[in-house]
Amino acid sequence: MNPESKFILLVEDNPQDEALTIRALKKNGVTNEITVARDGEEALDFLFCRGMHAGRDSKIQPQVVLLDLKLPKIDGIQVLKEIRANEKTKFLPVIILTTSSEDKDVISGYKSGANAYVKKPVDFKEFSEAVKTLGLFWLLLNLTPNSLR
Amino acid sequence: MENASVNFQKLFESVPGLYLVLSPDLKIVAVSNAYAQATMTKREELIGKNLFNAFPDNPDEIGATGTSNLRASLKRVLEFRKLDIMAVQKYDIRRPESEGGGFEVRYWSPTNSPVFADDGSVALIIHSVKDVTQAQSQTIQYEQIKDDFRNNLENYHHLVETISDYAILFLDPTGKIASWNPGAERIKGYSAKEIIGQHFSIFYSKEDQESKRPDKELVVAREKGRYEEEGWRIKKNGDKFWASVIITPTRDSEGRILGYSKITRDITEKRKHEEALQQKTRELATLNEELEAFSFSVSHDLRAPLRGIDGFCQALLEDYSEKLDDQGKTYLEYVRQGTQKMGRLIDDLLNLSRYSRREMNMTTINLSKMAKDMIARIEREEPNEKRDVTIQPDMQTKGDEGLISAALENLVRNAWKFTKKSSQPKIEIGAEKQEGKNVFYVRDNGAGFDMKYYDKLFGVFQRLHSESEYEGTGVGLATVRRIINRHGGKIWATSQVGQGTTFWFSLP
Repeated sequence: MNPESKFILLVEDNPQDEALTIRALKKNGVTNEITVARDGEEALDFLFCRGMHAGRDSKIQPQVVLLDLKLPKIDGIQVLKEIRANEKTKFLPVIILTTSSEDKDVISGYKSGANAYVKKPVDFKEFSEAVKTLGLFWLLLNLTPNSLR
Repeated sequence: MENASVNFQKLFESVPGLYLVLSPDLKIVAVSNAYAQATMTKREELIGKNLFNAFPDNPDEIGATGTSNLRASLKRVLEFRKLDIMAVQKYDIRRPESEGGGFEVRYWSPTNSPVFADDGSVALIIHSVKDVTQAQSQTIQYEQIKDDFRNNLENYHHLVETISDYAILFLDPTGKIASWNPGAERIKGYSAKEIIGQHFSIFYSKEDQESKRPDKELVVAREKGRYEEEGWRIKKNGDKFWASVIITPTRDSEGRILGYSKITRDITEKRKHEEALQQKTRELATLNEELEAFSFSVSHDLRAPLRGIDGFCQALLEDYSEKLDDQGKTYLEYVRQGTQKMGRLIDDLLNLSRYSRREMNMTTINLSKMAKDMIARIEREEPNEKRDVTIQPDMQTKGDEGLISAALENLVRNAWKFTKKSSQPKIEIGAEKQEGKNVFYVRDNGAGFDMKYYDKLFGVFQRLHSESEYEGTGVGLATVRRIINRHGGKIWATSQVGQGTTFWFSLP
């Protein structure tokens, strides 16, 4: 992985959702590399460079994490808690992928850091709103002028 | 004194004390000024009169002993020729007619002493008295208080003796039982005979005794003025009971501990009920948690395949449109419509359950502003639809803002939906007083419904119009009713086919 690259970490266990999310982003001109973790444990291993990602350079972190809530092994809320509890990742921007307003209820107790929400299936309009909320305008700089409506 | 001739009569009359001088036949010979004053008499009226004619008993007082006691005392002086000190006498004084007449209550401490003639006979008797009325009345009051106290104490003992719901006992300063009432006998099983003199730790379990709990309780009672707790105690037969105990110290006026009063109630039954209630509450909480987990997983797991179906249909339509003919595209649109409908159903059902469970946070809500914002939002969503909307200003109510907003939105969107086909669609949101209560309403001049189906109106998945006419999931009004019910309010509706519907709701 190119250390300079501004990549996105997508934490998603459902392969169809994964395909649809990546399609939505690419189709709208998001050219950033997208790394996928398929459960909570893998996501944390990746971020904290341990387990199967033990050799990874911990200085290289994603620009934003797209985090599904319902994940095998370690669920999304636990992943978020650990991200916030760790000095290295405390301020990592996280976009929570929700499937209903129910999720916001659940997550509202963990208001920490600058979280934003995007309802699944990931809709590009919502995604760019969330990215703006997080102050990550530059993420959209990679976009072709056409896709910026 | 050589130059002054002493007038002994004047001297006597001026002595600051109450004195009468009597002849042996009890005629008044001399009177001190103080005596005349104290008895509200005049010297001229007394001199030469028989003592008992001058000072008769109060005829209103039956059994007055004043004169007879005095007579006896004077007789003793004449007979034994010695000073005679009398006990305190009640001897009422006749008030002069000029001052209203009648008798005034007085207590006297009289002394009679002889004055001997040269031949040794009793020539005169000095009758001296002290007015002790004030001291006496205090003594009487004191006696009265003592009597009252004794009566109260007796009443109190009687009370304690008849109470059988509470064990009321007194402990001496070391914790030994000094008194025992029937309540104590009933609750703890010991008779007064077998328990008095025993240490009260007998009611405690072995562990409590070993940890010196009883003594510690007395220390707390002594230091804090009260010890109160609930805990297990042991009956004579070894059975445990859950006791509510209060121990208070009794002190004398110097603050020394005289002992402790201990009141115990058997609240085992109450505790059983409380435990049962707690158990039920725990079960309910668990159930609620399970329900929440269920909803959470429903919202995720049920939706995931739908997302896939809808998402890939969309991908097919977008990415492969040139390979699909129109019919193929139509079919794919149908698939999408179906999945979207199911998505809405899941959403609505989840909301219904969510609004039923969510904790309520009561605040004052401006319904007018809420309705205005809602209408503005709907107008933005459907810019081509026009409704004549009237909102009464300054409508306020108390409730959970999120829930009330959800309920109102359902009603407003309903009104919006069912006026789609009206020629001059109107929606009116207002409030009026009905039977002294604020009742809010959302009125439309839309499709309306037949009131004979009214009982289906608020049911889940119940619809009174076909999907092709007015789309909907049939969950909205059920949700509204649940929200209003949770607030302790009421909701109802009146309608006429083709004329429109009014939904009413009241909140407490």
